[in-house]
Amino acid sequence: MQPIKSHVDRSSEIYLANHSANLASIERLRMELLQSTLGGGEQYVKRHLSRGKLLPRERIEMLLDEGSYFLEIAPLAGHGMDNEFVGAGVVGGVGLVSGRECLIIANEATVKGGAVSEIGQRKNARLAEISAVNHLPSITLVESAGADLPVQHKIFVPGGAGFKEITRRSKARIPSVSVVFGNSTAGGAYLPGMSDYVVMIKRQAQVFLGGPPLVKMATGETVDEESLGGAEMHSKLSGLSDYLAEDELDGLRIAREIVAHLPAKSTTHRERTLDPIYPSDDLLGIASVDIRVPFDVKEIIARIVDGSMFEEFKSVYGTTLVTGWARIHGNPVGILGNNGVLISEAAAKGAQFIQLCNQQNIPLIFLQNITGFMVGRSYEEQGIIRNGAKLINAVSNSTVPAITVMIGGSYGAGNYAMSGRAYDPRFVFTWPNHRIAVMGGPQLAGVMDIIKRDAAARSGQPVDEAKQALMKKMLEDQIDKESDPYFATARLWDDGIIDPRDTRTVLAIALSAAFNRPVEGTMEWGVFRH
Amino acid sequence: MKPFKKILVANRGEIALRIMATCRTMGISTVAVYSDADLRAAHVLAADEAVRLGGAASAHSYLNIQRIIDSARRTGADAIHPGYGFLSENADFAQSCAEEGIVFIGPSAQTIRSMGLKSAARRLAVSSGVPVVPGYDGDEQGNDLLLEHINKIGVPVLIKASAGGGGKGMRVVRSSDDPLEAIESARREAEKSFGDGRLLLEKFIEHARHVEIQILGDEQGNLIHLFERDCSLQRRHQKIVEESPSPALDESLRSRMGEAAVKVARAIGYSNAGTVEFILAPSGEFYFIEVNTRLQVEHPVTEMVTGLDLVRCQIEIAEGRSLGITQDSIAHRGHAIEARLYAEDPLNGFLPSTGRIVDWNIDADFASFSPSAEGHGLRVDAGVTCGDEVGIHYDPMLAKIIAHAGDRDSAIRKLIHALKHTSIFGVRTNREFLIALLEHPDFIEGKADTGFIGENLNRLISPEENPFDQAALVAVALYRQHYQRDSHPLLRELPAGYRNNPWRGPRLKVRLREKDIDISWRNVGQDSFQFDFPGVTVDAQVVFCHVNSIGIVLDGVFSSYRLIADGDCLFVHSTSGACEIEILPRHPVHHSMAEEGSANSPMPGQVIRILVEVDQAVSIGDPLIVLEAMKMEHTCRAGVNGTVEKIMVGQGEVVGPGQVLIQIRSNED
Repeated sequence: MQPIKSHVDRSSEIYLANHSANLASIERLRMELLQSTLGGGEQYVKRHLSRGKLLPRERIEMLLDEGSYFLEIAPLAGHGMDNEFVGAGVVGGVGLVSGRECLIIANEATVKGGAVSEIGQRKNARLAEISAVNHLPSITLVESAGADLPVQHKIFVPGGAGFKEITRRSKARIPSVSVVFGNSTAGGAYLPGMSDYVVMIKRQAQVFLGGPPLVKMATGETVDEESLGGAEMHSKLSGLSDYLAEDELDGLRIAREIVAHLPAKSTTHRERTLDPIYPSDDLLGIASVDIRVPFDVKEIIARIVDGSMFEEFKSVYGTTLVTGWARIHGNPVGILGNNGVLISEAAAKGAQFIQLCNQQNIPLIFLQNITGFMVGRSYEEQGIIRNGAKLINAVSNSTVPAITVMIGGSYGAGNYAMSGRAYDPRFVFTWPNHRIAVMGGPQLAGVMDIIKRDAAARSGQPVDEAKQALMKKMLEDQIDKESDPYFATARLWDDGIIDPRDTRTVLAIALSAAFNRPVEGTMEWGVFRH
Repeated sequence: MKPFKKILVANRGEIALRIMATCRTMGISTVAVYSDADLRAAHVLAADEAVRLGGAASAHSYLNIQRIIDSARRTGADAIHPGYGFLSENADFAQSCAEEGIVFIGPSAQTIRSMGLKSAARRLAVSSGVPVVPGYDGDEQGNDLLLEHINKIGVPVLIKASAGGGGKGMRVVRSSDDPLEAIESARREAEKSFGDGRLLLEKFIEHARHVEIQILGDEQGNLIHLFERDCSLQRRHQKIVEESPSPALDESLRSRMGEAAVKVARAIGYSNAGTVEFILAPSGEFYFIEVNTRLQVEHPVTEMVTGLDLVRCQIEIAEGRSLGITQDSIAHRGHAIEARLYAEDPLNGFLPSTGRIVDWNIDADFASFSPSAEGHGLRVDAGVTCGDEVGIHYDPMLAKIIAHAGDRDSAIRKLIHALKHTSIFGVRTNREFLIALLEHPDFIEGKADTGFIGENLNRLISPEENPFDQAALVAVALYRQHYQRDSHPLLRELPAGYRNNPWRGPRLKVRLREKDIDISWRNVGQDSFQFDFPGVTVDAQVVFCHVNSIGIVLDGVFSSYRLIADGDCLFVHSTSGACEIEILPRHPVHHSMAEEGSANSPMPGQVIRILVEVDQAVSIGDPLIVLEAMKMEHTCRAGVNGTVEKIMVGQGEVVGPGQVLIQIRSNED
């Protein structure tokens, strides 16, 4: 394998412009992420600390192995949404606990007492899915008031799936650990209830179906919280708690010990891997801030893969899709990256490449920068739909792990063909410069403009040009806003916006997590339309 | 004259190795003897043959005359070299050797016997016209009589074992002390160490120096001296630093003392190597103390300044050769100084420290056991090496480091430099204490007398805030971070502690010099970190990180640090300091509360006396139990007011550090 030869000119105007604009985007990302770490605000954080409790992020820090990474999932979920805090009241991600990759979830107790919001519930579901599909043991650090009652209509019905998923994972031998730091009441009581291992913290955990007021109302019994559902009661009497922890650190220690007795992932020792030969900082100068300006995806690959080595497949055929093999931190991957709009040859090549990777159990990395499939008469005649369908067939039925990074545009059926969220890649990450929509704002507004004009013409109505222009502008603005990466990540369309310079690291963590489930590529596909 | 073909070395540790080194250069085969504790000790491995003596305790092994003589017979050794300590000044042993036809390398049994009894030695000195210190050396040893003499001589008075040396059984009684307690404990120690509880009393001379003269005599009656050694730096009568020449002697005093030493030696027809010890008063008056009829620990100092191999001289004399050198032919060249490295903890009352040596890194330029210390003028005589166990049974001296240079200042400088480059971990040592001692202006000016260490102890063991500590904390944090990442089964090349949503940096809880410290830092770039210490931020850049070392640029200054891990402890050494950093658990395990008020053993040792009974009321500070380790007594005292509930150990029991010895029910809540 040869390293990719880079042609980046670091002194070019476009490089410098991209670099400074992307740096600004990263600075914004940093500020937005900072918001996600503030919990429910200073007042609530202070109150939490004054009770001698650790903040959820501190709990995670003390649960993780020293020096372990932590890849936080969807830290900006709920960003800019009504009735939501940045992060949606849940902190979750993948990190090492006792040397094993685990999915960790912590309720943000300083946000509405850890109550579950609409996005919070969806984020919980996404985190549970990551545990399930990658076979990662889950550790939940529980302190939650339950459902956010004013929005119960948005979460009550779908929220029930969470408990089902825990026990289904249990059946699939994916263990779950709950460490209860505080409230876990009513329906929330089934969170520890369904878990394989339950640790409760002395004088903190409170787990009951109905609290003292409800009990009083229902049966007239007067009982205090500690005897109704305290850690000691559950450890000594009810048996809901398997481990009684002296304090929070002790509870985290116990959780670490539980994980330590789980069998370790079998890994073959790999030799030291080579860093890419080009600095990751170049990515900021390469990735276009204006997504209409194309850039060479091979320059991106050269800054992500081991030693910048890339074995390109069909390099001179269907060149708008780059395919080839490389390694990331030693793990072999097949990479598909867009170098322009998808045409028939490119789509067919992509389908073939995915089949080859499945044949050899090689995970896939999709680098999405796609405005869509080519349109126009000659392309339709050549069967762009038929060939696009091959690629979508391959992406849909592929069973090797796929990880998608949106590095530019993600438009139209291109999103689907390049393993967008709906195609269940194991992880989806985006760059701050990326845009996502069925099509670009101006295009969409232009299409709507033409449709309206056609309709007006058919009905013989005159076109109010001023109104039409205003409508077009408003629509364009709306689409632009909704194509924004923060709009997307707030709604869990992806697993987070990352600093482009961290792409290699994030991919390595995600790939390694994916490998906890045996990689078994398929040789079975839907009917290919040849 | 009968040349020896094989010599049995009736000793262990560095002196055994020292003797064997000379034997090797002379083509003489060596036989080692060993106790069960020493099966794998260096001296056993260094000898051509080795014979087991018995159990670990000295009485069963290195002090067992019959076994040693049997060993010599079995292996066909012509001669026995006793080294120092153990049987080296045991006249019965020398006698037994003679009776068995084995040459004892040392003076005759009769000489040893007469010099061994200090009273006899003093009488001999007096009769030779050499002054002695006022005192009592009678055979009557009743407590009342001794007390009476103490009063007569007037405090301060020195109590010593008649039969002993090396500081064992010695006590200074001052006006504030209980003389009876001192007499009794000195007697106990004397009985234990020498099997002879007789004591002698001496006027204790303030601001005295300890100056001794090395003598050498052959069986033909030739007798010379090899100048002095100044051994004034002593802690509790234990020599720590020795040098030659003495900064307190001028030529005239030197020759007068030398002549006095020769005079005493001649009076008993001394043959072989010996040392005549004097007290030198600030006035220039000197008093005879005793003759040590053996090779001294500090003999390398004399070897370095005379170029003679004293062990070789001893062997040749024992073979019956004549000295072949005259007093006039001995030249004194330059200045030599020796420091003794002990396994002891200066910060913890110099308690003996035991354990396995996990790092033993002494400058590669050293010559070992070489009288001439070719090249750099540096020599190390070490009895242990990496991996050795330092136990409770024997003397805690690990090694002697000797520097030689043209003048005193240069020799001191060289010795300090060597000590700074010496890295030892596994047992606590007095290394830094030695450096503080050697760097002290009073010592450098040659003004340190035998009381110097006692008077300056606090300053010497707790030097002002050490800037090295902060560097050591950074080194430990970054070293651990590096190897943690390396030990991760997965993704070991990821940036340490990667976060896509940074919140706080890594932290580490450690204990350094009895203080708990939280270290926190953050990654600020490739291999670059920023550490937050109280009131100061330190920039650190890792230049390299190897198995036992890390190179770091700290605020623009590069240094490399040696790091050795042993369990939860990391030992950090650089030329600017060394310390032991204990990594505290991130998640403390909750044990049921330890019984309050129990007396725990501060060190490994043997219970020699239990001073309390069950149900006895005790107050804070009351002595409870006396432990002995490495021939040092240590009294464990009550930490609370209360009643003895349970005695958990028995007389003679060997206990470990931290072991509960006595449980006390506290009176207080």
